[in-house]
Amino acid sequence: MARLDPKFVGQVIALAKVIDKFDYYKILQVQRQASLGQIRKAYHKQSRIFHPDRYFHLDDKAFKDSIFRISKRVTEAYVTLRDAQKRSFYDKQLEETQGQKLRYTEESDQAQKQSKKEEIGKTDQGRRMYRQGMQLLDRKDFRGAERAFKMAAAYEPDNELFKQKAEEAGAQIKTDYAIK
Amino acid sequence: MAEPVIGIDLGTSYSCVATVVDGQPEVIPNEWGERTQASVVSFLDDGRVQVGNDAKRRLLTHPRRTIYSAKRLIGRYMFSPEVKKAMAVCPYEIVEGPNHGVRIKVMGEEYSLPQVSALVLKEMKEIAEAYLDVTVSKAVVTVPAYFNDNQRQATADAGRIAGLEILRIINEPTAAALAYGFGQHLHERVAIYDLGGGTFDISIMEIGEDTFEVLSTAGDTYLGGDDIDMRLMDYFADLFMQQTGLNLRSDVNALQRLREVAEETKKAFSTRKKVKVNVPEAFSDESGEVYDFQTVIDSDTFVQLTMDLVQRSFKVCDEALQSAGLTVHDLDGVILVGGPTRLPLIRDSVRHYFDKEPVAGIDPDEVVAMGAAIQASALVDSETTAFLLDITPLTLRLGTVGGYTEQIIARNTPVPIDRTRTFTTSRDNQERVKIRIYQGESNRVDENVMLGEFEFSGFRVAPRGEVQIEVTFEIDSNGILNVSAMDPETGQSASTEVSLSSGLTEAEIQASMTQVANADLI
Repeated sequence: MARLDPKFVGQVIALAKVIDKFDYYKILQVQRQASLGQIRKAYHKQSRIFHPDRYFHLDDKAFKDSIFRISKRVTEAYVTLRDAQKRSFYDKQLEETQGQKLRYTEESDQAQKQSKKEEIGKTDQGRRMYRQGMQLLDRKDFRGAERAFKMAAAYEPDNELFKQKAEEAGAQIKTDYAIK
Repeated sequence: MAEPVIGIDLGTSYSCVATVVDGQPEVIPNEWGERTQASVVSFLDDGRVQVGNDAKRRLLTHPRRTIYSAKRLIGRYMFSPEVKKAMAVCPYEIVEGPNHGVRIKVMGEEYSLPQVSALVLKEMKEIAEAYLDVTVSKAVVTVPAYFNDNQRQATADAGRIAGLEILRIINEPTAAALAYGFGQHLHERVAIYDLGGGTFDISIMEIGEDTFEVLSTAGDTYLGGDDIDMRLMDYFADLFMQQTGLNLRSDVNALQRLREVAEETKKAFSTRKKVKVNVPEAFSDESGEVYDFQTVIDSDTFVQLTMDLVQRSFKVCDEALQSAGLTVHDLDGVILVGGPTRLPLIRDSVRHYFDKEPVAGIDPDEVVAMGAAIQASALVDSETTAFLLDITPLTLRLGTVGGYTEQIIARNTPVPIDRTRTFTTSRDNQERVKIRIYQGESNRVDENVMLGEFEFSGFRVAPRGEVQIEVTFEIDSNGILNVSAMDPETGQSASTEVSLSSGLTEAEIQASMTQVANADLI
């Protein structure tokens, strides 16, 4: 069995200690603008170096623990950056905390989901009416959809999306020649 | 030379063993040159045990002491639907063991499922030892991708009972992909459609040189070639009823024989469009009168009988593709694994669904064992370069109040990884919490499988909702789950390696080891 280069062992143990101070781009060693393909390639490349299976046959516990620590972060970086929504939230998080919050945590995940909700609406009722409107739109019930979007806008008068949707649905009614 | 390591495909119907020689995977045949062995164990009068293709022949003559399809029961509880289903059709006796475990009773003796599977594994080990002429003690064993952790643990226990050090339990479709891509310098995205004797799996993988990344996997542990046999068997039994007015199902031996005929008929459809079925002396009524059974079945009828099973597999494929965020047009190839994929019915449906010709030149019965051998070799020997970026196939959850669970690590998440979530107490001045770990795809506790539990105490005692408890789930590359709980305020922590239950205690495993070690396999 091949022996490991002692220099490499030292580097790995040192890296494991500071890995939580690296952002995901640095962990995967990719540019901030990296494409999905580049991220996947980088994940494979870093895994070739740090995946625990490569060192399965070794006995050096301190080294293997360090490898495990690093590989968990490599996976985490990949899982976050390959998902467009998580990635854009992570980028925002890096910016807003000026690089202080480096991991995509449960908190990030909840905040991300919350902000996604808020893109649609701030109140439960508003969002519910909006969803109803979208469903009616699917069924080509433009009158019903317009009514639902207007109701949604009543709950959230400053929501531009609701107003815009109500107008869109309303515009469709003119081409809807159903007779009563 | 280092001790050779082996890969074992422990199948529902057939098993296969392989090793890597001079950098190339090779299937190891038994002394008769047979490359796959029936996963059948038969107990003889004189205490000896027969395993493999000879044991399978005893299914007809000694149905009550010949055990087949043990994999369908391994790692399951007595109350699971699969066990109930097996009890209705198996001629051998299935009884309840401790802690709702399943035991098989043969000639007054009870055997656990890991023990039965251990006998198959021991046979595979002995075949390898006879062929390689050295002792073999290390192996990689494969399981369906959709096996839960209890089923995996039970399989690992079977390995230990058989006297093997299990280097890793890997997924069958992943193993197939390893064998397909090993040393081929591929850059491809492929689907592995794996229809085995008892289970169906689909995995989507990205192969980049020596790196095999699992993108997603999905499966159905209740769908396999056996189900096709059952459909045919039922069809025959109904037909017999129409022809004679007699209920052939009332005789387990006759039914067993019909099952065999059904399997042969299915296999015949791999090459023929019409199959003649002839069962002389199929059944004898109370007065002792003997009836034959004869019919001719064409492939249209066969397709009608089984089409819904095939369609079910494609629902699972939809799921896997969706989970990977891909469509069939993003795939470069589709690989067929498992004996039933030889059927034109399956091949045609797969071609149609994936809109491409399945990859040719792969033996669907041997490819999994070869992949397992490659993985075994890659783990013990740094010269074999193939490595697997695997995922966790089922969602890991934490039990919360009111019979609900919270997802901690979603299925199809790559490993190794850790995830932390913060929980709180549900009662005022609560002093301890039970950390219960579940696996499955439902929010409800009772629709998941429980993997383990432990108690955490020593955190700050306070009104409910004020205490923070950070729970971390960590999966290593062996697929082993570690769960820890911590109070960030006091720093108090507790952790456990989730000791998975195969339904056997350590003492039972030890006792089985001795028993199996002494078993006289012929």
